[in-house]
Amino acid sequence: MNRAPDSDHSGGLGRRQFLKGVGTLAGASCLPANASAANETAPQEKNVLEHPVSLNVRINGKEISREIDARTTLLDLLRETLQLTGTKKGCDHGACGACTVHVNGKRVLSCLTLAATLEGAEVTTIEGVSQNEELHPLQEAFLRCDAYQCGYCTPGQIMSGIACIGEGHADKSAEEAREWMSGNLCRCSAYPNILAAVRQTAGAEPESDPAAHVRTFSLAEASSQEQ
Amino acid sequence: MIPFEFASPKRLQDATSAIDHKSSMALAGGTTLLDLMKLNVLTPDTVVSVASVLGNSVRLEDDTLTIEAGCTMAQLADHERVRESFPAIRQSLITAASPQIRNMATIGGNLLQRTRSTYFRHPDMPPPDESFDDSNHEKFWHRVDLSSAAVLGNSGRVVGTYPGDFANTVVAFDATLHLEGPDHQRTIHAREFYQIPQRQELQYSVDLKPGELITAISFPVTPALKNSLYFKVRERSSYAFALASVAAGLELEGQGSTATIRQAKIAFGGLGSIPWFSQAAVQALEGKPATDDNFEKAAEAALAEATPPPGNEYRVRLARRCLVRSLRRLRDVGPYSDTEIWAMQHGRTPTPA
Repeated sequence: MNRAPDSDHSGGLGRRQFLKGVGTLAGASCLPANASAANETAPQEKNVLEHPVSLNVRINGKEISREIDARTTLLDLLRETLQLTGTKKGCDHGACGACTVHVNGKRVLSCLTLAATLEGAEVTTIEGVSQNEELHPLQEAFLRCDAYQCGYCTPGQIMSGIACIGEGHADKSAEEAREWMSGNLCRCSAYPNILAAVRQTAGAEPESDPAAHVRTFSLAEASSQEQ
Repeated sequence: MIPFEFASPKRLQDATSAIDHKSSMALAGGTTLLDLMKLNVLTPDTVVSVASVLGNSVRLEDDTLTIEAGCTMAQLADHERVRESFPAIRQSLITAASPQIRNMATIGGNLLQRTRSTYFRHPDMPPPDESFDDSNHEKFWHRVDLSSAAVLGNSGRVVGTYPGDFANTVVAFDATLHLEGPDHQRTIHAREFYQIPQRQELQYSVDLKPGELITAISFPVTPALKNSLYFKVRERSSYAFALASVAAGLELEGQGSTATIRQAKIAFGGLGSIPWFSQAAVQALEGKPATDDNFEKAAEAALAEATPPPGNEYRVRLARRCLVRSLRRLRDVGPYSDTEIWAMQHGRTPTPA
């Protein structure tokens, strides 16, 4: 599988770096994107960390120590401070599941988790599920099953799916797997393919592209069916 | 979010003495508090993390099931004894929220979650003071979605519904809450803990004093708790709040509709401004034969005081049908299995386990 690392933009200004630049200009009232990189003389710096909390946490196996604002959610810590932008912000209110990550092995919503409560915790995000260039079997299954359209909910679906398989809810009835994946919404409604990817990875169904079983008629066949 | 100070005390006593539930609030799972803080509906100066100072054990001793308040919804639902023997407890947990939220939310926090009505989640909305009973001329209330406004315990006003599921099981089966303050402990029946909104209040209040935290909840184990279920109807199959739900338990002497009802435990969810224990339904059932006719009468009695806001009359009928269906099921077959619940929710015929 080819995966372009997020930060590797050899020529020109990458999309992510461009957006980061815009954020710095427009974000006077926001949390700093990266406290260590912020200009010492920037006027907002003093006000922002009004209630600093020191945090030590393991993220994808890496020890992280940071001074953070007490308001920082795990989602914002991942995306804004650590630039781990694989985890997505959907509703930011615990209604969509796009921000699902694992904390101490359990799937949780990072948008409703205050980072300050995670002292000593072990966090796994979508960036931490593959082994180097080797995709996680559920990531492979999402590709095989075409289990997305726009892809925005996909990291949350995969994190939830990995946990769902581990909990033993994905290898029995399809209804059970649907129920235990119901915390992740997909506005493109790729649900049948997401369900197939999760159940195939759990061993409940043979590995195959669900679309391969769809019968497509040629115009001639369709006409002959009508007669 | 408005800036706040974060405290993470090491002992329960330090936590309780720091919390007043107004400017200084307790954070356990965070699934309600952070949501409402992001909307500036709740704006505490201090957030006190209590998850690590609350216990999380589940114990069954001498016919009492005791759950410490730091236990998560997922942990309680999956507890071996709860899974085996107390269907209404398990089902009111696994049909609530999502697996991710159930991994975070604690039992103590779950009992205290606020109304989810979109109207009341908006900090700038004025409190509704008009009654909606005069339907002769159109008011604001006739033009807004009131599907999460209470139809029971609303004093004829628009007030928010208690949104949770587990608390309905808690009041149905007469559980007791254990509260602890900096220098005292006390217990209170869950049925007395919740108070319907008074005067200008938009939602329920609880008998929880500054400095007090819920530390545990205990259920008396009765035959009705073992022959029980939680039946929930919502706008979509899963991950939604109830339009109407029923926590029910029956202890029967005899078989089928000739059986006598020795004990009935009934509460409704999704309808009341508080988790709605129905004394009227219990009275209409206990000591009577378990006939369909008596079930219908109990459902009528249970909803007799309902005052649905405009457009919500259907939820009263829905609630009656939920109760009759639950009671028939408990009489004729017994509790639902997990497989049946999932199949029911996703619109398919249950496959035999």
